[in-house]
This record gives sequence, C-alpha cells and structure tokens, in this order.
Amino acid sequence: MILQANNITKSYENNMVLEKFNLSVERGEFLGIIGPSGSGKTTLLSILATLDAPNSGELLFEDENLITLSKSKTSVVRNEKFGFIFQHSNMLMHLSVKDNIALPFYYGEYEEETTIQKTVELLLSKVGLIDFGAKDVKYLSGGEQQRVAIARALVKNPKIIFADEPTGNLDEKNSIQILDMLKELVSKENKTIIIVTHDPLVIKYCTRVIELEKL
Amino acid sequence: MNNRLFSLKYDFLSALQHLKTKWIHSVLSVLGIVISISSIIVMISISDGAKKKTIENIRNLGINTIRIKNKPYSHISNQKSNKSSGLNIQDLKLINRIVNKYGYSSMTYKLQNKSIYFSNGDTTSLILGVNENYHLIEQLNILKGRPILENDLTMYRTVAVISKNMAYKYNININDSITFNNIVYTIIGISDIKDNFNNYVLFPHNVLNLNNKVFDEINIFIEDKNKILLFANAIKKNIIKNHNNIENFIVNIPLEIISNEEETQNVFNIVLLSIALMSLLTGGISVMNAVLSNINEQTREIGLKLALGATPIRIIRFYLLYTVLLTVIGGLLGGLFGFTILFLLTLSTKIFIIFSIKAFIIGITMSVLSGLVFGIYPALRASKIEPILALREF
Repeated sequence: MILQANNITKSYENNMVLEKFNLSVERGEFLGIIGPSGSGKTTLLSILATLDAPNSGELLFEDENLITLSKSKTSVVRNEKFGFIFQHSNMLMHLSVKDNIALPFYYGEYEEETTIQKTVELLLSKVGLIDFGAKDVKYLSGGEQQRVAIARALVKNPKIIFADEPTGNLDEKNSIQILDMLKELVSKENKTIIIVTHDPLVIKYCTRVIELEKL
Repeated sequence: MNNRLFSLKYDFLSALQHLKTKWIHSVLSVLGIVISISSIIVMISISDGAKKKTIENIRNLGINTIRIKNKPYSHISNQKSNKSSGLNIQDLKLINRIVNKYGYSSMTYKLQNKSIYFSNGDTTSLILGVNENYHLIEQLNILKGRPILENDLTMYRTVAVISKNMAYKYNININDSITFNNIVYTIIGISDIKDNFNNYVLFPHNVLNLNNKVFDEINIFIEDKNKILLFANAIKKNIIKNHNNIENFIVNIPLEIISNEEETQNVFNIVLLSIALMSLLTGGISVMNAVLSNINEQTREIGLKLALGATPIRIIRFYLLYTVLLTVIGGLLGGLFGFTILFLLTLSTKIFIIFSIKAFIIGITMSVLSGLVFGIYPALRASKIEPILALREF
C-alpha cells in the first residue's frame, strides 16, 4: 500500500463534501475516481495530493501522516514524490517547453544543470516532443501542452501521479495518446496513477474505479 | 553550488524574466522611486556643494584665527562713542600680553580708493596699514621679494608690498617707487590676489601718519585650535575693560562659524532628506500596489509553483527579489535622472555642485531598503495562497 486515507472529512462552510472517507491505494494501481458533479472528486484528489487540507482524518504516505506535516515539508513531498497533471495544462506561458518541464527541479534540492537537461531531453523524446524543447510553450496545441504536462509530472521520477481530468479538453485522438502514455507508466514503471474523470474512455484504462456520491 | 545558492540563482533569474515580460508596467510602477531617488541625489549634491563652498570661504579666513573689528558707528550711541572710539594700539598690546607664546596678532588700517602714484602713472587702490604678522595671519602668498617685517616697523622704513595685478598692469618691480600721501615708498614685495582685491598696497602701519585713526581690524592667530574659544573670551573681556566697558567691537571666530554652519547645514539636510523620504514612501507604496496587483494576476502561477514543490519561503523570497529588483531599477534610473539634472544645472547656473557618489550609494541603499520594506507584505500574501484555490481559478 502506497497511500491510505482514513476518516477524511471535508466541508466548505455548511456544505459537507466528504465524510469519514476511507481509501487505500496500492503501488502500481491506475485508480479512477468518478462521480456526479459536486460529489467531491476533485476535493478528494486535492486532499490526497496535499494540495488541500481536510477538516479531520489522516493521510498516510509511506507510513507518514501528511496532514500533520508543515507546509514546507508537504511542499518537499509534493516535489519529490508526487506528479501532477491538470485538466488545463497549467503551463507558465512565458517559459520554454524545457523550462516548464524542469520546474520541479528548480523548486527542489540542488541538481547539476547537466542532469536536469539530460532528464528533460529524455522525457521530451518519451512524450514525442524532442524538437519542441526550445519553443515557448504558448505556441503548442492543447494536446502538445498536455504531453508537456506529463513530462513535467515525471521529471522527478514521482511515486504517485495525480491527474484531474487530463483529457477533458482534448479530442479522442489526443486523449488516447495521453492515456496510452499513462498506462505505460503503470505497466512498465510501476507508477501509481490516481485520476479523476467523467470520461468513459479513461475508465477503460483504470485498473480500479471508485465512485463518489453527492452527500 | 549548494542548494540555497542554486534556488536563489533560479529565483533571481525568474524575477528578472518577470520584469522583462512586463517591462512597461514595471517602469511605470517605479516612477515614484525614480523621482524620489533623483531628488535625494540632487539635494545631497547641491547641499554638499554649498557646504563645501561655505566652509572653504570660512576656512580662507583662517581656521586658527580670532578676528576683531569695530562695530559700525550706527550701532553705537553717541554718548558711548565719545567714551571709546574703537580698536587701538593699547588693545593690540593687551592682546599680545594675553596671547603671549600661544600665538601672535596683526592689525590693519584700511583705506579704500586712495590715489597712489608711480613713475609712469597713477591709480586708486585699497591701502592697508599692517604689522609684521599680517602676511602670516592672512596667508598672503609673496610671489616676489619679501613681506613687511618687524625691522620695517621698528626702523620706520617707507616700504610697500603691492598686488601682482598692479605690478603687472603698471610694470612695477621690486625697488621701484610709489607715492602715497606725498611720501615715497620703495617696493619690497609683490603678492598674490587677496580676498578678490586686485589692487592693494600694504604699508607698515606706523609710517602712514594717520593721526590716531582707530584700527579697522585686529586678527589673532592661536596655535592650538582647542584654546581659541578660551582666548577669545579673555580677549573680549579685557578689551571691553579697555574701552570703558563699551562693547563697540565684534569678535568673529571662523572655527565657531564653521561648526554653526555645519549645524545649520545638517538641519537643512535633515529637512531635505525628510522630504525625499516622504516621496520614497509614496514611491514604495505605489510599487507595493503594483506587486499586489501582479500577485492577483499570478494567483494561478503561484498555486502551480506551490503544487510543484515551491515552499512558502521560496514564494516570499521570489516576490521580495522581484520588488527589490524593481526598486533598484527605480534607484538606478533615479541616479541617471538625478545626475542628468545636476549636469544641466552645472551648465546653466553658477551653483557649486559636488557630483556625490555618497548620494548615489545612499539612493541605491534607500531603494533596496524600500524594496524590502514594501515587498514584504505582498510576498507574505503570495505565500499564503492555497495551491488548490489557485489551481481552480481560471
């Protein structure tokens, strides 16, 4: 087991979103989270990824309760152990493709510039963007930007990748390309993927799906 | 490279890139800083120039001297002026007794616009009747020949020292003769310009036959600067006694004038700097506003950085660096603007200006400090952004 959520409760003002929610995630799982709008899918993903804090409960990652860690320490966990792919690629548009991919390196522990560049080049070829490295990311299409986002999520070799509707803005062809890449990460590199989706195509790729209900 | 340096370098370069992408916005936001830093530089440079000029002028009077002159007649009542007519030989003797081995004194008769005659013409000149210490106390530069010495006075020699302008203009040389008041004098020395007087002649005071005219000035040189005030008080007290308890003279102490002048200048500087600091405050607030509005625009970006592992400290540091960079650019532009104004002032006015590097350093330091002070609130606010809220905002 790589991640365990125990009795997670989250409410916004008087609106209860999650109540005593429990979840265990195994290493190498491709876990899909589905449910109607307002059921708390994104909230759950954010809490599991330490982007948001629950009102109560515990979140165990490698036997450490991430809820009790300081903001700085959770930043370090996110930087070194987690990767993120969002619905909107969330790129820094004034930077090049390479610089966007390398961002987690610059917010983490010191790494030689040659190592950073080598890793980025490797990932660029992996996501099929080897010729786009020097380009400003704003000139890339939606599908290409999402591939850059996958490269960025992988750049520090994370253990878990959190994805929030990563194909939400893509056509079917691009969606399949992205999902194939994610599937390969699970099958070949034993990464864990937790993905929030509405898309039946995505659900087909998941090894397990949990459905949330609106409270 | 260690971890801290690595992240600092990245944050610095990111802040620079940020400035580059929004350079018009950045330049506009630092206009207040530009104006305040340029005014600090202009004010300090002009004030330093004025201070130097004033002190130079006072220093020319002789820093180790005490200068006594008669009060104008209009300042003394008739009744009092009958009791004592002014500075005289008894005062000089009294002063020499007081000063003794600690210094020496000179006296001066001054006669304005008097006619003097040479072998090849005549002119009007300032006539100065002096003693043997005059050239020492007035730091008179004798270019040729010698000054008036003690022997000239004891032996009642009819000798004279003339200014170099007169010597040049009328082709007068050492051992030539000039005539004043029907007495022929031999030129023994030629001296440099004094106090902006081009034409002047120095004579031993005792050969001038001035019928008990009062001295115009008595000047005293004191070897030890620390004893000047002490001697000045003693001299003043004793001359008043000599003058039948009438204070019909003025005692000036250049050293005291300098320190008063410096004090006045310091007060003036404080007032000017306070005004400049007020404008720096306004400039700083406008930079803070600009950075705050930047942060509002960049909420998503900050959230993304936090999600990717940036610690709140990194966000604080980034925005502090960004604000300091902004204000330093403002300071540099202010320096450029300030020095341009000073340059134009030196071309178009006669104001004595010192191009003060000190003022530039103060300006840049102030801009760094204002960046730190006015950057801290926006930086703290940025660091408190929750990554999840930031990522939801589109």
